[in-house]
Amino acid sequence: MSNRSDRINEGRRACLASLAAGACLSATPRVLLAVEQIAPKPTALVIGAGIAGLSAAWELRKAGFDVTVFEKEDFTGGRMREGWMGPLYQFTHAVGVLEANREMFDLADELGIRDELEGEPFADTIENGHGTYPYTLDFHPERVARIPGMSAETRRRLPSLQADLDRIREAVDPCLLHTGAAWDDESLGAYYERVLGREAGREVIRYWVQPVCSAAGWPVYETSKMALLPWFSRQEARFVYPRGGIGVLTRKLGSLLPVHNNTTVRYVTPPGSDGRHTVHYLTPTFERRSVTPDIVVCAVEGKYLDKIVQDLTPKQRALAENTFFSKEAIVCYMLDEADAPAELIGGSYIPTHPDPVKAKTSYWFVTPGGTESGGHPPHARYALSRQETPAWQRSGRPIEEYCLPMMSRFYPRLTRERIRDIVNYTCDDLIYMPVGYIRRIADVLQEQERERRGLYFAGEYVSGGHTGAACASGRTVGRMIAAHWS
Amino acid sequence: MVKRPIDLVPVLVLAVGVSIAAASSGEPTREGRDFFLKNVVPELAKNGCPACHSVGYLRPDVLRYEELLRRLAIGDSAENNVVIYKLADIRSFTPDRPNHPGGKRCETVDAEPCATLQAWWRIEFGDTEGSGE
Repeated sequence: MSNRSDRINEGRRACLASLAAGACLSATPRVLLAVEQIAPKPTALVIGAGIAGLSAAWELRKAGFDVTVFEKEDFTGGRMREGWMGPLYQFTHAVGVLEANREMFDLADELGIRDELEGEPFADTIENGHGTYPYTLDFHPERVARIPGMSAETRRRLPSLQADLDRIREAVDPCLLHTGAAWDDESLGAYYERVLGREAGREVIRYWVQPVCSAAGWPVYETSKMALLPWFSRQEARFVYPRGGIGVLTRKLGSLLPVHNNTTVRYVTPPGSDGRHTVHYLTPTFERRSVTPDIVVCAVEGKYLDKIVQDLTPKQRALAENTFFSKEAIVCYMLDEADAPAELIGGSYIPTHPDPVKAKTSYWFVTPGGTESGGHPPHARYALSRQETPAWQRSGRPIEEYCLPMMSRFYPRLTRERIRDIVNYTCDDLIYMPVGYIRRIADVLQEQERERRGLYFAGEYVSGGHTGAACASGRTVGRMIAAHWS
Repeated sequence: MVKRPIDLVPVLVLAVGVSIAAASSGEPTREGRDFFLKNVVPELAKNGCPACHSVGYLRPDVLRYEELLRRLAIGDSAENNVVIYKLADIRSFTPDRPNHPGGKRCETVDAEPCATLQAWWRIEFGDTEGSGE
């Protein structure tokens, strides 16, 4: 039997949930309004309006917190959005979403935009010197066995991978990789060589594992097997291009939450005697200010953690100092229509391709523009292979100059004189997850799960290297904070 | 652990007087902008930074005061901020995989162009705030 306090709590939660859902205040019982008037909501400041920060802010608001989001950029959505880059309006980082991003699709359901987040699955194709084949993030031994050039002995051994995939599928959430920390004990390369034997393992790595790793910029013999096996184990690990665009979810959340753009958080102090942290920031007009909310959620890119947060705990510092991003180097050469091909042409190659130029190339295409390329103007796009990226970095040359000889080999009409403009897509891409990184994530999360605190961490750097993981992290942390406060 | 009724929480919050209303402590100086134009821009140009960061629409545009100042602001000291972190290539994964896509541009945090950026930081943020605040 419930007492009065329980009834009020229940009503208050319903009230706050209704408010979060935009319901009319007139439906709220008078007694609850009275409670609201005398008792301000606990305050939460979320740093970063990427998908992790927005997801955390959404959960906190549902739980009754007075939420504010600070975002240093003049846009909302972080890496999960569209935007103008010179003459191109398109994705700025993330391209698609994975169907297995359960938290992300549940959130889209709540917001009434699931249909817009869904889309047609797509699979890339890749050439390995023997032929072209489709490759995706899931791993079906029978499909891998059909790769051109795969030896009969390797094909015979492939089914031995299935038992581990089944175990991991049962136990590990690919959007919350700390759930697989117990298996974070060897690299992908070491794993495949151990289970399949050296020769067969290397063949599978060359034709399947390395192309997938390379798309993320992860070195096969350094990256933890748990960075990819949870995805390989999924049957629904397919990418889709959202019908509403890659920014559909962050656009919606941004429209519902109080996001302060052009507001740069400088640093967060250690907790005071009341457990609260002070956040120092710059306003859009560059005034220096500070604020001390009840809760701070740090949903910035992981690489900035030790710049922003003072006095990290040893476990947090161990994570922050081991957070690195792979580099993506893509350049678009804008062309006149007369210099563009009649139809889209292009190619994609494995990093160990026998042709040295193809081995340096992740993919390229040239589009005539118009509807065939989503309304973009004609351009040639070139993505440097991740294996080649460090060589470009050492060269000190601008990316467009470094890549031009390779791109011109594929499309000889592309000459310096014909380039009308350059769009440089070079950026930090995804976090590296070398062996041991996922255990560090688990250490930090265990620490912050234990009890209520004034500062929490959310983002891909504590969940996995993709937007679905960032979303799951934000939602999980938001719910955890709500639980700590109840 | 005793579960606390949720309706007590806001009362406690009220007691500690929390609000997002903020305390102001200054704004950028004319001196900072002048220093940027006179010292920072030439130093960055000397090191080739604008070749990537002012063409091709890559952020930040290092020739724009407001854009670089927002990066410089992230961190708590002249040595510990996002711009120095990038330029000095602090914490690369391995020596052959620089953290800054454009590679290491300062040999140490005290070498140029980082020395000039540190001086700029001190003008912008050094008077009232810092790691010891």
